[in-house]
Amino acid sequence: MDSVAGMDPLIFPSISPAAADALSFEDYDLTRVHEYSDLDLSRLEFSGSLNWKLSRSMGLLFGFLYSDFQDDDPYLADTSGTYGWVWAGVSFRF
Amino acid sequence: MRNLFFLLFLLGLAAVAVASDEPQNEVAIVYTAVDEDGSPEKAAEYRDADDSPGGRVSLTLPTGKRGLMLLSAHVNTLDDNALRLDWWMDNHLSFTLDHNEFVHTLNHDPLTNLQAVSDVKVTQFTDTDPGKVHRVRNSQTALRMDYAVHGYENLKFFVRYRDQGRKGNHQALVMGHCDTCHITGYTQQKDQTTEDLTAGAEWTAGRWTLKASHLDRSFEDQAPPLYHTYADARHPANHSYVFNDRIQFDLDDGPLPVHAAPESEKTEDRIEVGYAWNTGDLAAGWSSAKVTNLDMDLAFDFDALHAGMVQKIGEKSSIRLKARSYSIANDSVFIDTVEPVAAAGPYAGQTYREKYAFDPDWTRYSAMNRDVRQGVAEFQHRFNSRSVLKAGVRYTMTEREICGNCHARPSGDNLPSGHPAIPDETQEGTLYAQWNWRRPGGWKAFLGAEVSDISRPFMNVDGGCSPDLGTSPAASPMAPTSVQYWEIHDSREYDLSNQPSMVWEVKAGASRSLSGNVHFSGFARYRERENTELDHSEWSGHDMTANLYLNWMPSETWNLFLGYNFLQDAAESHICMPVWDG
Repeated sequence: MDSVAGMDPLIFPSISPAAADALSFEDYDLTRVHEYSDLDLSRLEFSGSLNWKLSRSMGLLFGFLYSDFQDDDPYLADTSGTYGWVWAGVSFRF
Repeated sequence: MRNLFFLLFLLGLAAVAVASDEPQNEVAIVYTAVDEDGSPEKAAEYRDADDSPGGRVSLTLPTGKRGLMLLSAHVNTLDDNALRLDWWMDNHLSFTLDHNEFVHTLNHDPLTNLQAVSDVKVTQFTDTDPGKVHRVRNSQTALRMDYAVHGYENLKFFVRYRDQGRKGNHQALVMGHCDTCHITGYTQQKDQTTEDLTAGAEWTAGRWTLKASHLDRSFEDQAPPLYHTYADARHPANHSYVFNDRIQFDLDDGPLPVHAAPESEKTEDRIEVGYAWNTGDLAAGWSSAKVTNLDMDLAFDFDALHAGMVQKIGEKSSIRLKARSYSIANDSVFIDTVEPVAAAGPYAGQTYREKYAFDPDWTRYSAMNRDVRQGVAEFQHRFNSRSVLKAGVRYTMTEREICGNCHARPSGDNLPSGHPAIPDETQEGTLYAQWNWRRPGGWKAFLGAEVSDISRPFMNVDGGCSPDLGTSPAASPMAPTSVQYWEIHDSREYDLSNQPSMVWEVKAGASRSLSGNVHFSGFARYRERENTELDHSEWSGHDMTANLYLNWMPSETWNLFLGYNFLQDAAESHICMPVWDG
């Protein structure tokens, strides 16, 4: 899975010199606001399982899952991470 | 519930002892090992983080002369499992037990984004548990019993019990006491339980069907409460106590409870009646629900009536009519503001009300209150075995209340000062048509279009954009010439809405099995929206959605899926951007 999303820049009309002067005590730089919601995510996932029948009534089970999530344009925090599990067991049929 | 699961699991193991000749049951014991790296918030959002024993059970057990029990369980870990038991004791009595658990990993906001504005002077954050991974274990157990009366099987009764739990912790964010200048993050425990008990009956007699049910629900959070101690209410620069009259609580009030989940209960009654004849059917129903916040003694009521019918017209046509009426009524809340006295400064000894003749108390009305009438009329005609056309009209009338500046003060606002909620009405009419075409063993396709006209769409009346109040910048909010926050708030005059007054939409889709194990489908929609009913501005926009899917399944255990989704949304709108001090 690969997802990308973005916005075009916000376009504001010019403000009056008086208004600009009134706001001069604080830096309201909004030129990068449109980038705050950018998304660039990808997920790669593998899974599989095996049921090995040793006899008519008994078998062995194996399985795995691996998930790799990449957050290439973090918003609040980088959520990149990997997760994996493996399992094994024995089965009885009757 | 875990004890019950293991009892059932042991039942499966015990059944090995009575094994039949033909293996049709299976019991397995497994062990699952887990590994995580980096953030688990997305990679393991719905997965358990702990190593654990697990198992699989699949049993078919005859019980008595005519009874049958089916048991299946899939236990990945002790916190990630699903179990189902169906037990038909005979033709009249049956039980179903469903249980499942899963783990949900929640987001942890490091709050560092609060530095989005450069040269920060007043915004700050405190994360009391940085890096904490928040997880909630969700569980649900549902037990249902169905009984058909002996000798009169057309009369059936059922009882259903459901227990839903959420246990773990999440991040709770608390705002500062004057505004959102200081955000504090806590780890809050969660131990919530929702219990349902439903009982009902169904009676069929010839062409008639009658159903009735009653539900009782309760919700409770047994986790310890979360407390927050607010900062001392002092001037941020000179640290004097000149702001006491503008802030309801601070350090002197000690720890105060925050993020409380109130205990609540719900009751719901339903009655449905149906009648069928050779060329059509009719169904109608009534439902009524009441939800009560027991901590605050607040309630909302929901009442609904619905009816629908389908009638065939000849061999190829049919008409469908549907109507629904419902109302939502919430209690209003009177906000009795705490009004402390200024401890220092030019207004020492006075409350804010005394200085500015400002009444901070107000009544909060619910934006959910409404009476709604809906209707659908649809005609469908089948031209031949391949082609069907349906067209219809939908209509919704929503009588509601608007509450723009419900607590407005005498400031020349558009709405009367201190007015209660006033009635308003939204009407939406939609015409639609869709043509479906299929070729046996080949392509399926559809083409549809609809247009909607909405009058008085939902909006925030007088919700934005203040005019120039004609005052000079003042050195202090306490200076005689300074504009007070409530004056700016009450002077807002632009109606705001993201709801359209007109919508046009066209859509098309196609799908086909390219071979026995390859399937293709595609869909596209284009929509235009605009709102020309706002008092000072208008907006317009369009969006385009398209997707393509290709699925290849060479065997029961191999599946390759390729998909592409596209979304583009464009809008042009008037914006008022509030900056420093409102």
